[in-house]
Amino acid sequence: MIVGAGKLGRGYLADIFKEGYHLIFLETYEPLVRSLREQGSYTHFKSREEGGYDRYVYRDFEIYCTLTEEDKCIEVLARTDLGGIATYKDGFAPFGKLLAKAVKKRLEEGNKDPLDILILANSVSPDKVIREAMNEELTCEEKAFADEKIGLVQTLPFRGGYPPSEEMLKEDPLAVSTTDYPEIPVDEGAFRGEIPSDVPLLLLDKMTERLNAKIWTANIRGAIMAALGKQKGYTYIEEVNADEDILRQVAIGIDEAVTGALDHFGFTKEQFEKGRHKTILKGSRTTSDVLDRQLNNLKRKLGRNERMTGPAVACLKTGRIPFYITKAEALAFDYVSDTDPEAEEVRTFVKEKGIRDAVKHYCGLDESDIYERQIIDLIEAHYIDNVGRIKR
Amino acid sequence: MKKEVAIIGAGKIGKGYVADLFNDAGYRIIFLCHSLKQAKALRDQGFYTVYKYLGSEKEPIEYRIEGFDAFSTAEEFEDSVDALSKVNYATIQVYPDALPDIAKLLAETARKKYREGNTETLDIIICMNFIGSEKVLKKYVGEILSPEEMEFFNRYIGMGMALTFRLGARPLPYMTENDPLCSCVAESPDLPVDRDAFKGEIPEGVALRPLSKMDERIVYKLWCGNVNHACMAYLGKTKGYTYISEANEDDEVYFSARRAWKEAEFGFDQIYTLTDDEKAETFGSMRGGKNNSHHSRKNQRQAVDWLDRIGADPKRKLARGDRILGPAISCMKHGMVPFFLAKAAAAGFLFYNPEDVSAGEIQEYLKENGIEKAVEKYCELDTEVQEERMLRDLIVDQYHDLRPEIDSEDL
Repeated sequence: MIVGAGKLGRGYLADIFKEGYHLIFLETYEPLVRSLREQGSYTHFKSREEGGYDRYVYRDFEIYCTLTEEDKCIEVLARTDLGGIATYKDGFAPFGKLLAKAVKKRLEEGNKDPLDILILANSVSPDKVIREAMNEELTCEEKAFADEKIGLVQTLPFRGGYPPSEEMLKEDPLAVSTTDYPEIPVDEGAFRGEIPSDVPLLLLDKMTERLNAKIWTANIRGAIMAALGKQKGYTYIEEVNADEDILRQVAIGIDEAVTGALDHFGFTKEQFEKGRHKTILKGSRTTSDVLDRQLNNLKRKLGRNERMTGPAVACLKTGRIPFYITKAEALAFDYVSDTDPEAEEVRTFVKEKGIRDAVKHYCGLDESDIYERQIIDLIEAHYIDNVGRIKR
Repeated sequence: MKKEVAIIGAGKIGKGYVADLFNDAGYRIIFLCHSLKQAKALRDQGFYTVYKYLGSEKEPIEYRIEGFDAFSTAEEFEDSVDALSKVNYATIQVYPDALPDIAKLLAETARKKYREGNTETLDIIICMNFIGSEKVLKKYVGEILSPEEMEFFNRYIGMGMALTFRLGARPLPYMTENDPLCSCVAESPDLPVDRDAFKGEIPEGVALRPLSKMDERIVYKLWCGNVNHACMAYLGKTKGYTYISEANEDDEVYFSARRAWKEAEFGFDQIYTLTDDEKAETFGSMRGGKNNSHHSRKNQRQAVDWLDRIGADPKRKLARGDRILGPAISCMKHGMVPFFLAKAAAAGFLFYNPEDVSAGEIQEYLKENGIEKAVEKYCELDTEVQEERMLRDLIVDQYHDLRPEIDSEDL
């Protein structure tokens, strides 16, 4: 059972479960449900680290719409014992309510088997969001049952999903395109049932901390690539992957983020490496991903605990200057996006109020804290150095 | 007091600044230069031409200074000691590596005066952009003289720092064609001196500006005055410029230097006590307005000046305590990240002029040992101290950012 038939639902969860499991998708967007059902198949293009793609055509799956076929969805949730969810943040609470109905049905039908659901999300504690929304609909007895039997398992979704190229869509208009990260790191302690041994899962602890650290140390890569790549006039990740100078700066920026993350989240290097995104940085990967996607929802991504500001402050507190993180962040304040209106809003703010006030506003930094003031100083200095002289 | 002055060091500052001021006031000048060739040339010609740029005028005025004596301290040491022992005033303007030789001259002069019972005061004005040079000189002198002689020295010989604001530039070809001994300068009206260092009277009629707190003022001048030019020189060279005017016209260079200066002001204010009035007084008319137009783009002097000259001897200019690292260390220790000072320092490690021995040494060391070790060595940073380790890392980051073509293996 896979909730969300988007890039990661069809291109990551389905891929993980494709050997030996029957796939059932539960999707909100009715036109997609209809198209997949009519076509009866879709193609997954998986880009390889060393370049090129693998392609796999999925058939023999089921798909139901959570809005127009709710009863069917509840039926599926009531009988399954393993699944996953890959939606945006705003999908978690509605799923929680749907799951509550499934819990009631499981109880009614005497199904005491556990149900474990892997949650693919680039946000922290999505399990709490789902469980709270679910519990709001349950009685005390039902809640106790759900606590015991429903496992909401946080994961580190290291695979990237991005818009398919025109060629891919010509081949299959319902194609999905992802990178090929081979496993899903999961929270070992969150399972309620037996952990499947035939699915490539990496069992980890301290998952909430790891999720935060993942945003800081893995997602930062795209942010730095986008910021530096746009400065050089690039549009695609592929162009950045061919630029040795940018890759050098990205590598150091990630190292700065790791330095901050280890200290802030309390990992040893060995603990952290166990759950770390293992990827070859130098770009031979073929991808049609665009830079703009990496910094979409710019205001969120500039936030205090998000992928740039969070690790920058943490890195500085260890006694290391986050030179490349703050450089990328400075460039993000001048980011021109074809798709994200927030980028224009940020640039307008800088023009009207100056870079320093913009940093304080969007990054949530406070000048009365010495570390945060130094991060403001660094971003401002990089901005002046890279973007040009701006009157305060 | 006799209207005579011994000018030790007959370079750009000696001939074009100090001699000019004393000559204006009617003093007889005795040049004490190291080289016999130079001393003979001055004696033989009997004059030299001063080309002086006034304000923002494009063409310099020219005039002659004549009626002086000249001796070589290397080859006419006794004559030099004799001359120095008879005057009440002297100035020193040499490079720091000449200080041991100068100390020998001063020590022998003091010894001669002591033996002859010559208790006329000798006040020496040190015109060097080298913090603590009077202390260094005194230390060297103390290693030569006996305790009694040193006591005599301390009683009758005054040594104080001056603030050399006048630009001594390399003469243009037509100037040296007209007069191979010429000097080319941009005008500054006076010479600020340490009022508290004089044993005798302050020289009458000479455009000197006696100031107190000279220890702090020399640091302020270097950290918040000379820093601007040093930054422009090093950053300008990374862009392939030759002259300061080119660097001045480049927005990135100009504004990076301005930002570095602001960082330097912050660094200075954390340690020293000069008030705003005292700072303004330090620069005097060189400041030229409330926005410190000493650094103003419009106010840059018209004298042609080479970046190789301004950035010369990077070993000294990148050292701890000097114009870039001094304020940078203070900034780090007081909570400000000296981004632009570090950028200028990094550019200093890229500075190369085949005629500059100091720059050559740094480049050799860099090639063998890498940028991290080079920064530790030449900036004299103690990496056991967190702020200094962070500053080293910042300079290294800036260096790599200025030089993206280095091999990834270097990382």
